[in-house]
Amino acid sequence: MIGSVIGSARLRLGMGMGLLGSVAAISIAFAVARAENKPPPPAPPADADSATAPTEESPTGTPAPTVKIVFKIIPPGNATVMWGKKRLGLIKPKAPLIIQRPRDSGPLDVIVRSAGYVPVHTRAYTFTNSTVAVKITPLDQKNTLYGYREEIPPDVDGGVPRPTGPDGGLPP
Amino acid sequence: MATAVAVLLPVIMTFGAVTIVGCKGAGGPGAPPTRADEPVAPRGDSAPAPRSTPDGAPGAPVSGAKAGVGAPAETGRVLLWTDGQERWMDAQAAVAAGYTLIDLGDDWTPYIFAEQHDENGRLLPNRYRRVFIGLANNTLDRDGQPLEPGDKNYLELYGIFPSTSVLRARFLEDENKSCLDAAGQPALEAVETVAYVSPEDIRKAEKKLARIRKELEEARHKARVKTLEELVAKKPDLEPKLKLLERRAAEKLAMAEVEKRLTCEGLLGLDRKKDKRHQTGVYDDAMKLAVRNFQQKNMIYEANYLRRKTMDALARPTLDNDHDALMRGLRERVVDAAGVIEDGTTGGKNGPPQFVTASGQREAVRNLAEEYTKVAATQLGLDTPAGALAFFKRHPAADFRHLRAAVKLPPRPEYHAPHMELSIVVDRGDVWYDPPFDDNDKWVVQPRKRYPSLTLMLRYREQNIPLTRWRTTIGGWRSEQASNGYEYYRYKGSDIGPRVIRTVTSGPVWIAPASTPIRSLTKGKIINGNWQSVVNYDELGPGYLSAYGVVAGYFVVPGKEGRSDFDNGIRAHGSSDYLSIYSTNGYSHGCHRLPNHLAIRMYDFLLRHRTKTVEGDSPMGFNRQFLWKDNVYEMRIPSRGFIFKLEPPLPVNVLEGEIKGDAKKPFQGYVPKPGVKYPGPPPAVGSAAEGRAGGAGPSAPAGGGEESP
Repeated sequence: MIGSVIGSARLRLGMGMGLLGSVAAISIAFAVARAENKPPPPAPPADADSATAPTEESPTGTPAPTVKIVFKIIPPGNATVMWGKKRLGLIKPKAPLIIQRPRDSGPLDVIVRSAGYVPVHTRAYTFTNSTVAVKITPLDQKNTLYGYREEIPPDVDGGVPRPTGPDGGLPP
Repeated sequence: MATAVAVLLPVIMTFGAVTIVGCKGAGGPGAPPTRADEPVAPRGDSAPAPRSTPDGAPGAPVSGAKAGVGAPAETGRVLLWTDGQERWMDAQAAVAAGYTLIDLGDDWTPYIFAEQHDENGRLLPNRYRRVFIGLANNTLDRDGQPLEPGDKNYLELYGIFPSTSVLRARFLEDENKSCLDAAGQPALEAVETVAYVSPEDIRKAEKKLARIRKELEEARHKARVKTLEELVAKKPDLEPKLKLLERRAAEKLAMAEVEKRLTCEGLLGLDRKKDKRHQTGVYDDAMKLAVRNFQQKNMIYEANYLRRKTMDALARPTLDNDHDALMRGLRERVVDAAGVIEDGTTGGKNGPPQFVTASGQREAVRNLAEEYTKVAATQLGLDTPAGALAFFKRHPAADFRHLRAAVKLPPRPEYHAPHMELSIVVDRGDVWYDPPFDDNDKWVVQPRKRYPSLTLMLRYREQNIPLTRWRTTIGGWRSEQASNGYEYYRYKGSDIGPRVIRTVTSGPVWIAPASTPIRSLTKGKIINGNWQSVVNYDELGPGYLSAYGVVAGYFVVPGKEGRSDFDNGIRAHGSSDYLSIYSTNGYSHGCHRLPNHLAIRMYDFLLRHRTKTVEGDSPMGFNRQFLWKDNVYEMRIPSRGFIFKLEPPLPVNVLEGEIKGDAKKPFQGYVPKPGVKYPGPPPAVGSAAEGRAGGAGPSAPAGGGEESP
């Protein structure tokens, strides 16, 4: 049986601390929370035309049969763009890679590789013309990326502090 | 301190800024714009030509639209079956004569994916429409790319029914191939299920049976009887052992027939790779995949084992199963064409609910989905496998590109109208807030007698009439990734109290919040001949596997005095996780899931019986990067989906249900998982948006209102 669920060490810990709340604590907690809650890194600037590209229509009003996809990297540099085993092409500092695909022919899952940077798996869509601006991260700055796992320090036991008293050392 | 933050943060969030969140986590930019974001001037909708009959035309009023603008009138000819003969009739004349036009074309979609136009007659493109049609026609895969040669989509369980041409091909292929061996049929019928024995345990299981057999033989010899039956008559305590031997023997025979059947249907033995090849008599991965495909082909809601419904379908002639598939597909087209939803699910011990008509008569709520489908099938000569086969032999595949048929349906109930006073009531059923494990980290059972349900209600002449009642889900304890990169449990509840649905999105996307376990955000896929890791867009959408299924309605508390709506991330949406809906221990992250085909029916019905505007595709350009196994993955989501706005919004009420267990309120914060090592105490719960996602934030008391924060 569950027993006293609220009495479980985990919940006691959390709920007991919850009772400590006060206006002052709230503001401190909020500040700490902001510091501890490392948000995902900001996404690269929204592509100017990835989502809102004007409809590429012919004079007759029907959309053009192909779309143009522009690949570039941030910061600018050299990179290759692979689509499965096919190399779509090279991105150069002042020459983005531009390809054409049949309109609405499904997405392209590509890998952008640049020496000294973490490879990026991204996707281009063929619904409209679009620009895929890929932010690349130096290998030595991997720890700035969301999803980077903190190392477990030695001598840590399950992450839950051992109770120091019958009720975990927390105020009732 | 961190623990204090974990506890206090939700409190803080109560006063925080309102953001749009999703019930699998935060919605963020994935959610449709709030009321404040709506364009001032409503945009017009010009629905496809109304598939209507004079006795209750579906097609709700569309505010801001000029009637008929951009909507093609019924044109062309339609198929009619009279006096045992097929003939063609002018579509307009058929409508005028009281026929309902059933779209049997391969390019049919339900209303949520039908072509819509703006007030100037310009097409409002729906990004998922082409994929939906391609999936139904076995031409595209779920990414919208060409299907590999020989591959087939079996997606009825995901709300996408095979097109008429695909069904025609099945009928013609199966005409001379029953796939049911007459000699083997008794073996299939002799068992209700086949017990699952994992490949690793086969030897052990065989040894156990051999031991029992030996034991019984020795006992028989000792008892000086000729047969085991005589032995059991003498020693009844041995009966269970004999029964077990007999059952296993029968299952072995049945298993052999199942293998034959699945091979005949082209579902087993296709993989040439040695490690994926099926080993006779073993329920291995190849067999499991074949059974899953068979279940999906025949729309069987069962786990991927040889259980009762699956065995029943395996014991039927192939053409009979094909006919069932035809009837299922026809049902979706008929309810769409007739604009009905009543499906007999609201009945109780005393039969269906009743209502009092304008003339004072008592009438039962009919099962119109079944009634109209039968009528349509009979009128088209499709009501038997033989009739359907003859129909398909008469018509070449090309006929089905845009084929429509005219049928005369019985009158709809008098409460049907272009705008109906509809609402949704969600009953959460039995609710457990306790963690699913005890103080010793041992898992505990949390039984439920009453499961959550979603009822579509109609207010008519001072009466509340339930039209449909379906199983749904509520939230529960789920894994969440905290800011330290570790997974914890967190209670993701379903808010209670009154809400509204203002926005319905077809082909919605779900923006995975930062708290989503990263392991679920990537998958392997063959890209251009190369096995490649990619972002798992299946779950993000748009698509039938999306966390929001193929359509979602967004629950919000209306903002007062010019303030924005309050969106706590709860939606009623389609779901590919159909087993979670019907499972005894299935939970969502707070949302109310429906099987995709029922979600489609419901929103089709709502959109066609409520005043609405069609906003169309909602672009957004959302990007987010994350690290997984030394590679960066970038989610790129160009659109929220295709937006419909209900005005007035649809009322929703979520009933609290019965709280079971010790905890009477949901716990807010992370709870370490049993057996997992963590680098320290649990961090605070997410950001403002994520902190409230899934009902962890404030919720309105049942029956009470709630201020928009």
